[in-house]
Amino acid sequence: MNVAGKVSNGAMPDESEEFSDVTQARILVVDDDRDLTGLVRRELVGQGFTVDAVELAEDALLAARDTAYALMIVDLGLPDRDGLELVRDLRGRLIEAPILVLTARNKVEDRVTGLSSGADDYLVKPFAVSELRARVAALLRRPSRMKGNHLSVANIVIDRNSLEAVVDGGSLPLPLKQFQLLELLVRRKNHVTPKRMIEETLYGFNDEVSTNSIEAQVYKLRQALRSAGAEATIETRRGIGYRLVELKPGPL
Amino acid sequence: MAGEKGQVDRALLDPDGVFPQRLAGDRAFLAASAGDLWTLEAGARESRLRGIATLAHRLGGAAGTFGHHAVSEAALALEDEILDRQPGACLPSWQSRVRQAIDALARALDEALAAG
Repeated sequence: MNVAGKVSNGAMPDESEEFSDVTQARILVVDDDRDLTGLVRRELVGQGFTVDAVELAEDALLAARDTAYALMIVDLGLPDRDGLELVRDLRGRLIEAPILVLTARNKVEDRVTGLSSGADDYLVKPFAVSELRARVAALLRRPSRMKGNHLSVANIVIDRNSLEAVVDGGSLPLPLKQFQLLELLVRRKNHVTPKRMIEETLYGFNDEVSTNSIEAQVYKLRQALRSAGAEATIETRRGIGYRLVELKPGPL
Repeated sequence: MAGEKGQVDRALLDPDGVFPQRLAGDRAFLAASAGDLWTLEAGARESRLRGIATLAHRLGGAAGTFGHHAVSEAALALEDEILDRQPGACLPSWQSRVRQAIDALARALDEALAAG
C-alpha cells in the first residue's frame, strides 16, 4: 500500500482546512478477508464513494493519519492487532470519523466492548449487504458528516443519492469519476480546487493514476458540460488547480 | 423460489465468481486437517484444531455474506464446538460433537460446490 503517496504534509495552510470538507466521500476498509473487502468495496464504489482498503491495523493508522476519512469500516480479527485496539488507538489520536466495526463475535459483551472502545456501530458477520449500506448511510447522515445531497451551480444540479447530474433540466450522464469531479467542484464553487485535492478525492491507494489523469478527467467533464449547455465552465489556474465558474451572459 | 433467489443473490454479490474457489480451498483444507486429527498426539491435535477453528470463524463470517447460509451456519457451529470445550468435559463426547460438526461443514461445502 502506498500510504506515503497520500500524505497531506506540506499542504498550504488555507488548503488543509478544505480537506476535511472534500474528502467526505472517502471510506477506509480495514479487513484481511479479501473476498469480503472486495464485496464491500464494490458496493460502496457503486454508491459513489472512493474506497481505500488495507489489511493491517498498522496500515490503517498510517492511512487515517494522512487522510480525513468520512467513515472507517474495521474488522476486529486483524492479523497484526486486535481491531478493538485499533479503534481505541484511532480515538486516542483524536480521529473522529465514524467507525463501523465488523465482526463474527456476536456475544452481548463483545458488542458492548466494541462500542465502548469508540466504535459508532457494530455489524455482525455474516451480514446482508443491504444492512451494510443502510448502516453506512446512517453513520454518514450524522451532523457534519454529509452536507447535502442536492447541490447546484448556475443551471447544473447534482444529486448524490442517484449520482445524477442535470443541466438545464436535462439529464447529463457522466462516468463515476467525472461525477465525483463535478461534485467536488460544485461543492467548492468560487474556490480553486488544487489538483492534489482532486486526486485525493477521485482515486484510492491502489488506483493507477497517470500523470495526466486529472487533466483528462477535467477535459472530458468540461466538454460534457459545454455540450449539455451548462452555464458554468471549468477554469484552469495553471500550476494550482481548477475552479467552476458561472458563465456571464454574452451581449445581445 | 428460495433456492433461485439465493442463486441470483450470489451472482450479484460475487459477479466474478471467485468465492467458490475459496470454498473449494477451504474444503480441501478441512479434509487434510480432519483426516487423521484424532490419531495425533495432544499438542499437534490442539494446533490442528486451532487451524480448523480459524477457518471456521472466517468462513462463518464470509460465506453467509455471500449467500451460502448453510455453509456459514455449519462453520459457526463447528467453531462453537471447538471453542466451547469445558475443562473436565467428557472427552469422547466432545470429540464426537466436533467430529459431527466437521462432517456437517464438509457436507455443506460439498453441496455448495455441487450447486456451483
